[in-house]
Amino acid sequence: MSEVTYNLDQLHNLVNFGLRSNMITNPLANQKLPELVNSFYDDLLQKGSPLKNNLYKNMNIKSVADAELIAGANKQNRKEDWLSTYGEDFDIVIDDGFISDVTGSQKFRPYMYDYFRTFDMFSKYSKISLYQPYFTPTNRLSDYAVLNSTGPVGIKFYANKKYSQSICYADHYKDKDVNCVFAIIDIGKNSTINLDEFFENKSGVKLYKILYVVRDNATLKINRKHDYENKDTSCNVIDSKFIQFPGSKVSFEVFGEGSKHNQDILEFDIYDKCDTTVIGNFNLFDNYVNNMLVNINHLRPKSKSIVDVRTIGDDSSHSSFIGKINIIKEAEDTWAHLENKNLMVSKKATMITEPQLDINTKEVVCSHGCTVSNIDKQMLYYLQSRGIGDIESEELLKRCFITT
Amino acid sequence: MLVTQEFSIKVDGQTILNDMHLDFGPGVHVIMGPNGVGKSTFAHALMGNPQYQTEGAVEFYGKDLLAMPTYERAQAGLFLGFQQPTPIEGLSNFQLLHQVLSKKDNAKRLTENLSTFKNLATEFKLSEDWDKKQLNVEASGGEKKKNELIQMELLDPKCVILDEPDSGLDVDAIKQLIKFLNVFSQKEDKIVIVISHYAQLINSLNVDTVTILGKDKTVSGDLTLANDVLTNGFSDYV
Repeated sequence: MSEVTYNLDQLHNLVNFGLRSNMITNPLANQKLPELVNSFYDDLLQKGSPLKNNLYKNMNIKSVADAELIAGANKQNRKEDWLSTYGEDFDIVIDDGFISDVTGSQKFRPYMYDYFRTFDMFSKYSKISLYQPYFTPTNRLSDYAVLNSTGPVGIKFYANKKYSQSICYADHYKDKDVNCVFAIIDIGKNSTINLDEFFENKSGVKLYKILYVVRDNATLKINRKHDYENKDTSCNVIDSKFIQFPGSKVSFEVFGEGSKHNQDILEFDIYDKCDTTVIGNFNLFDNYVNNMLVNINHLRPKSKSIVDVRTIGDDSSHSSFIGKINIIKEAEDTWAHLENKNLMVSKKATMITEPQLDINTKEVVCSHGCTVSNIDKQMLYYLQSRGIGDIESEELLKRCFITT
Repeated sequence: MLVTQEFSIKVDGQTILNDMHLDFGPGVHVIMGPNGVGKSTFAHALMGNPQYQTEGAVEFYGKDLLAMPTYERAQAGLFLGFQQPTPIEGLSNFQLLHQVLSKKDNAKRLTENLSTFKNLATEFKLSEDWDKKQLNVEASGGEKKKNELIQMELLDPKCVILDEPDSGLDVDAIKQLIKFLNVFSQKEDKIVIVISHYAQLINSLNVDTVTILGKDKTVSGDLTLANDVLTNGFSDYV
């Protein structure tokens, strides 16, 4: 197959020319996920390129739109030895249509364990079609991740289990084609699961759609870290959707330094008596970009959500944050707090914060605070008056900003 | 030794203090002056607060103080006890000191410094977890002043300038402050400069010199000068 250079807007044409396999042309996807495939495809045709979505107006999306991608490249660069590459640091590796255990047995196909089983579209017992109602088209870039992936992969944690696991979202091929990951993480009833997630950078663009289904009274704790390597050339668009069943708890923490373009979109559908915490800490410098959108939908009564995202912007870095809290009429006795603090260290940095509250019932407590501030000169002087150097004082105040 | 010559201080181009010739050797020195004359400005200008522009010369143990950035002045042995210490969220009282002490050549062990810190906090009747409390956050005025003294003791500077150390302190704490300063000033070659109008404090210290600051003139003398001002006011002097 010859190589074709393209950009994201041209991605869909590649399918028509047969240059890239995807869910539309995949008979198994059409058989197992017909509603999902059709609805996403129809939406894309109707609404056009997600790159034009107004949501991205403050996200420096141009670097993603202009990224030069290459399809049909030689696949010789496939990382065959996953065990030695990832085995020391991770339990599971996920890539486009691929999930692998790297803890020792190095199962290259989905497998069943005592606490969980992994699955893909070929898995006989995954009941993958049942996840379809959780996916609706968004006209965001993650719709490409769904449609243009080889297929979904996932982990189903059984009910009543306590387990910790580390996952690397890796890049199977060292090529410049767009990488589309479509993953489902299903947490069984009453289980307590800790996930350490690591997103490996690649030169080019990686698009993710990850669905987390947190069933009744389950607890999910996620510690997400972005790759500190190859930030100059890597664009990541990670779109995570959480469905919280009654009584469930989700604690989500994310750390990163941005990249050529980084986008973390978190969407929560929260039902009765749930707890949701989102903590984000980003330290941006050089010309790295980080965009975060947190959308909390309180759909049933007596839930609690806290969002606290902090970003330091140095040099010519770019940060944008959109925080949305939607409380529908039925979601009485909701308690919600949204906070986004930004510390602008350099005058050349760009920091944008946008809180959006949509409250449709009176019986709620909902508050927000979004700020962009500079390093406090009085604090700097106080530290220096104790003998702490200029740069050291600034770094100390940055640490204080993140930790409080 | 801290010696100023033709030392002037300006803010936004406006002269606050002009042409000061002062000489502070080891011992206790009191600085007084009418409200708003610039006593705190004098202290902060010596410490290198970038808000102030300075002219003239200040020699500190043979070094050109005005040529140094603030942190170098501190490292050279100058300490300013703030009238209103700055709160910093996320930094604990002891973390700040550990940050400084761990870099000193004669760095003591962390546990030794922490032990000294805790003993001083107990002496000043501060809470048991004072080391973990955030720096000057949700602390009373008196607690902040005590914390400045703890910092001063642990950092062991050659020269301290204390800007109204008595303000915010209760009666017992004033007695502790007096005792503390008298012990500190007895150490070898320590220069203690106290900005205060508080008669009990001034008369309880072993004061060597008293300086009255005015915009264009300074008057120096001994404890008699301080007591005359405390009785009759500043009008005869500045």
